[in-house]
Amino acid sequence: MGIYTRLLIKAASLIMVLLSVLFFMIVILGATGVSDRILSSIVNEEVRLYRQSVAPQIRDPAALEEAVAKFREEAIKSYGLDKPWYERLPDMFLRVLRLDLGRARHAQTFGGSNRISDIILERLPNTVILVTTAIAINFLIGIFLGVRIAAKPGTKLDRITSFLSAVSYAVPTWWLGIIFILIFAFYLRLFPYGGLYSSPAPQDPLLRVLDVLWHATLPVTVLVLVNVGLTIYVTRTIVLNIAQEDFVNVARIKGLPEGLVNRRYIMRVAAPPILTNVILGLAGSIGGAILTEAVFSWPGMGSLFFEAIVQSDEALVMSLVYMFTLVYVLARFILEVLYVVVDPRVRV
Amino acid sequence: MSILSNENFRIFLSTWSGRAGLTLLIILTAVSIYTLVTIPVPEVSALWNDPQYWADYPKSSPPSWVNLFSNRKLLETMVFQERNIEITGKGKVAEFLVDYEYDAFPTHISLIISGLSYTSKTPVLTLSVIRPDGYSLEAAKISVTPPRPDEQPPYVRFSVKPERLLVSSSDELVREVYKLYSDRLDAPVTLIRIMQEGPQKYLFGVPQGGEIRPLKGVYRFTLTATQNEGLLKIDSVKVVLGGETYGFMGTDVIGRDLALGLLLGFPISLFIGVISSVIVTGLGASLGLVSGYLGGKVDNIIQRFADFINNIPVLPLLIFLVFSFGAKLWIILVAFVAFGWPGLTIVTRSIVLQLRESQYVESARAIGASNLRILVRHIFPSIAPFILAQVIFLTPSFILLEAALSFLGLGDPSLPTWGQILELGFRSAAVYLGYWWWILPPGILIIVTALTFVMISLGLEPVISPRVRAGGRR
Repeated sequence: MGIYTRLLIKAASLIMVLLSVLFFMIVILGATGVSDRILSSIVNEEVRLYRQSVAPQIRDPAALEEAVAKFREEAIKSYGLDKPWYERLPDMFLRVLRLDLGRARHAQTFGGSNRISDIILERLPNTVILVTTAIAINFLIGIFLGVRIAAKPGTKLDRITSFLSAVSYAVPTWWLGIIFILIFAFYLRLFPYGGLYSSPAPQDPLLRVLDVLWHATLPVTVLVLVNVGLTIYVTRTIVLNIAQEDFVNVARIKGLPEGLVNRRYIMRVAAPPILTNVILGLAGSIGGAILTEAVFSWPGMGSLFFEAIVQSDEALVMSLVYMFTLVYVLARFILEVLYVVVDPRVRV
Repeated sequence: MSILSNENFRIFLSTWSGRAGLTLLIILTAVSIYTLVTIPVPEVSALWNDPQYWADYPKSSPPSWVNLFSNRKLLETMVFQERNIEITGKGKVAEFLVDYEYDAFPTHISLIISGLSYTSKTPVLTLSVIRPDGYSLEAAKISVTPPRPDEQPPYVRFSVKPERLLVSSSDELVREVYKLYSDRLDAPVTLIRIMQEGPQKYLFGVPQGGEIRPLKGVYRFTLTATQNEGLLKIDSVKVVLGGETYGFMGTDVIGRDLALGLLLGFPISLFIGVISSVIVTGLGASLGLVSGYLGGKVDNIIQRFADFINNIPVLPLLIFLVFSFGAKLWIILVAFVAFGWPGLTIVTRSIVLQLRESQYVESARAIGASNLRILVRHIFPSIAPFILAQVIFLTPSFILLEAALSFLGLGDPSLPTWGQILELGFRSAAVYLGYWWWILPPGILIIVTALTFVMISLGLEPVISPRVRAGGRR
């Protein structure tokens, strides 16, 4: 199987996942009557705008009412609200795919737009920055320390890391975030409580970047702390297993320098399974990011999710689930491509 | 060899994580049983969400033991109660002795009477206070509604909704305090100042060098029936002196006793964690058994499906499900099961695939054992230890998941959980105000509970390691 065929199959199956999730959501929303509510609020909004636009031209109140009623009927028909939910499925499906779900109840962009697609597109980069930074730091530290510890198995350091990774599994990310706010923002006043910029945000571009970094320190630290224990532990175990293989011993006996053995004989083999773990950890990181953003009011999709739930904004919740799945599927695919690069065996 | 054999138990206890985990589990279970036995959970859960009930508790107060660590002695909230009182005619209904040794004044004083019944003449109840310096004040008067024309004795009052009187804003007390300071203590204060600062300050104070200082000593609060004939019954009389600290764990913004909420969280948290884990493991393992043993089409379908769910970011969809179907406990459990089973199915299948080819299975098949018999009698026993370990291993993840959902505001509102306590704390800005007693304990309890199962899991590893290793390799 060629590389491209393999990637194509993977892409197809990931797209299937995305579409199935969408389908599943729409069926649930339809069956519970939520999609009716979303569509009728879009219709009401359009009718309101229509009334505003025609009111100056039609003086007679009765004629105005009639025109508005006629417009409403047409809108209801064009959105398919006169049909049962299952006949509307294909239309709703396309609507979600295009993020064409009307307006959010309270959430807004900085510019003041409350169209769902505008809000999400504004928030998306913030989430991507936060999560990728955290994942990158997590794996840099995790792999560096994991490889180090694997060189000396059974030492005190090894046992402490194993224990700490078990403990970090039991610590909820969001709670650690709250504690960090309590300690570093409330008591020590070293870092801000949350947000992306200070208000007012500094005008100078360099200061602005530093300001964002200052705001990102706590959320990124929390995300890394909670996940890094497991990364270290997994890396250590994988490297340790490979370091005990015969071909590694043979390389050492041949008298190859230790650095070369590490690079070419151990890490080369350990890279793919470690990458698999990055892939598997992704879903968890995205989940953790939702809660961490909410805690630090980081203006990404996670805190938007939190707001949407509080305001029971159904259209927004649905769009966010879709976007999270989309981001996840894309990230999975990028890692899949990386996998092909790292692991020569799949290229054969 | 059974997984529960003495030999295995000894191996388990030889690891320190096993010992620690088991100790913690015993403590958690003991606290849960204590809670279930001593607290009627459904009623108390209802009370938990009733702001009326908590009206007399101080809001957002730290626990009382902070006084041990600070120089300024914060006032503890004091609650005095007498139950099932019966008197005939006029006379003393209840008496409370308040030993007041604080450097601050109560934030409020209130009197709560519930379940009163009288037989003939309508009673009038008066609350009077005798100060340590001997002066006596009349603090409040409660007039009971007279009988309606068609009503038959006994006349029952305050039984549905208790009568709550905020003594510290009653006109009687303001007037009495005014009289006391101008006539007896020779330090006149204006009525307006008394009302602004609250008469309780003056009731518990004494003028000293131009300002009011707390008067320490024993205050005698007496409730008397100044008018009554026949039998007067009262279910409960309560006097509350509002303070700045409360109880063992403090209170939240509604005034709820956090110790109670935290205690209720024990059985609920354990229940959610263990029950979801058992169901998920049961379903996942049986699908894995069937899938691995039968092979063919069934195997294919189950594995495709498991792969599919494994490829979904779980938390967003979990949030979606609970959001659209409503935050009820059973819906949360169903959602956990729906997304939880695939990992275990895939692993169980790979173990069963190996076992299926083993000689004892083959010989069982040769003597004509049915598929069901082979699965139940031969394959299941050899993966049972692995399954048991999985139940324990998965439990903390469900405890944490439920806490996360609660924190997002998607917990079952009829059951107070640690996650929900944290959610309200976060939403009412407890973090930004430094209310540590509200934020730290629930989180620590979540961690300890999750850690208990992680420890037991670690301790079990040497017991079942061959199986774990067989299952860990995909």
